Amino acid sequence: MSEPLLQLEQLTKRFGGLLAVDCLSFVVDHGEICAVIGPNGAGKTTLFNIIAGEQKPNAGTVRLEGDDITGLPDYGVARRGIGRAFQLVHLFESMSVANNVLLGAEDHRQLRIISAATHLGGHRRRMQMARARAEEALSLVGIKHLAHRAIGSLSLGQQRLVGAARALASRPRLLLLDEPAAGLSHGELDVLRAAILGVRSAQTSVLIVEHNVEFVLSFCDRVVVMNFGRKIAEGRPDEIRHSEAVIEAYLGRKY
Amino acid sequence: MHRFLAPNLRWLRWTAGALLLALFPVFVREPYYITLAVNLTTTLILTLSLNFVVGASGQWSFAHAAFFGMGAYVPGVFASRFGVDGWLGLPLGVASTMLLATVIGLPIVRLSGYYLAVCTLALGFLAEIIVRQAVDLTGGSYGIQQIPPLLIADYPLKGGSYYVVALAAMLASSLLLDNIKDSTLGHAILAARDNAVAAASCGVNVGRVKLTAFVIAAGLAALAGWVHTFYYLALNPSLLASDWTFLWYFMVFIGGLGSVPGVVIGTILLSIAPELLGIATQNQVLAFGLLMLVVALFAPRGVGGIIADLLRTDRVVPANRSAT
Repeated sequence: MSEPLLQLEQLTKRFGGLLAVDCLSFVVDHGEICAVIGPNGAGKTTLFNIIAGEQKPNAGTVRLEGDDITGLPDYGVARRGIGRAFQLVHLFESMSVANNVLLGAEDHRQLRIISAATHLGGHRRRMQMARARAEEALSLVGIKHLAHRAIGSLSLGQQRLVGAARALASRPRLLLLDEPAAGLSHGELDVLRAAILGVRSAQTSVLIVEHNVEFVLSFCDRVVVMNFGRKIAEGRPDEIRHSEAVIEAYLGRKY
Repeated sequence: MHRFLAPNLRWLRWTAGALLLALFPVFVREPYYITLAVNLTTTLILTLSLNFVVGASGQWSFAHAAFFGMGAYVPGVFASRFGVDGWLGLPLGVASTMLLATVIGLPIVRLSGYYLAVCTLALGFLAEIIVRQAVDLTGGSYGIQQIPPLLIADYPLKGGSYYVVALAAMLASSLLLDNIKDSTLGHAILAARDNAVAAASCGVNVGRVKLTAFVIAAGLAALAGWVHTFYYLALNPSLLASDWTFLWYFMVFIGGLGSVPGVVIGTILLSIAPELLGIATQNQVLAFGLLMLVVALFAPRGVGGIIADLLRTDRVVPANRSAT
């Protein structure tokens, strides 16, 4: 526990002449809900893509409990215990809610072709375990009643929760939430907030990228503010609300 | 209670079905119908595996006839040229085809849609050309005759007894595909098809899973090739013609891509109906084309889609069948 859960050191990502992420460093501690906010084009999504292994940084390292995971492929990062829920939900459209979440609960490290073809070699035990985990994840975000619904029949808010449940079913150490509040109604925001607070535990930290500043400031432990790829402020929500730099760069005069 | 009974019922259904089908040659002894039945089992292996790679895995492979041909030629050539036992030819043909599928699959599973289709189609044509040119080994366009039959205790398998072998191969293939459908690998295959980014976020190595589906389908096509070779005891390079792949695609589409019962019905319909109706081969293409048009216009999800609509009791789209 001495190492921070996630440690970003001097991360830099260039797209041609544009510095999307510029020498960015911060940490996420065990059991923490950390939010990254910033105006459009601040580099938040690029930062997420780098952590999730979808893009490689030009410089810097990503450490998970001290292990260097920079440059691992996306599925490799997932296997290390970083779960991810997408802004554009990215659910498996042909499957039920339960099977979407089951995908997250299953262990995909090995193909186990023979076991898959014969249902021998611990197949039943593994499936039971995965089903139990999936059910647990559905309960955790409070959508167990939706288990047998088709994805197409759900609202956007419900789909976001399915995405979160799928990411949680692997029991990740870190949950990445990409703009979870985008396009949600007030009622759905309350459900989402309750789900995120319910997820946070000693075993699971949450890192949120969010446009809806009021929403994240209402419950997160710590905020990192980005602008033009750089970190311009970091602190507790009340500190951020009163930070001169943040007010100037982002929140505007009315705050 | 239902959960405890279900797995037993599943095995009961499979055993009952197998026994019932195995009785066919007891009642029907006419060689014509036996040949029809063996052809049907072979074709079912091919269409079910094609449905797996195209429907479940979303990979438009047009090299199926090439894999079928390789599975037919490898044991056939080994048996006729080098005296290798036909039973040994089975693992030999299937393994070498799967190896080839892995080698060509490594680069091409990165492709998708039209690119994959065109690339595999080209490989299919190439395979036929190679077999026609390698005269010393394959007999070229003339093919190979008088392949020694499969033996069980010096008793050659033919006619009704061979049908049982073909049936066993078909049932084993269906059981294997049905098992995979309800496994972590099967779920990963569907996930990789539905959304690669999301699948990766669940820890699925999308490329490897797609390659696995491609190679499994190739292996099953090779098994069908083996069944074909030791029934006819002769080989001919037209086996590798891509026309066959198109015909199997017809069967899969008319049955309904992704629906196993639909594909079975589509295969039976298109294999047997022309024979029973006495439609000449040259008119078959016309008949199938018209049928395809009707299906595309009025039942785009094929026979399987019609069945699903009839069986549907509620408006909720049914989830994948649960494993237990």
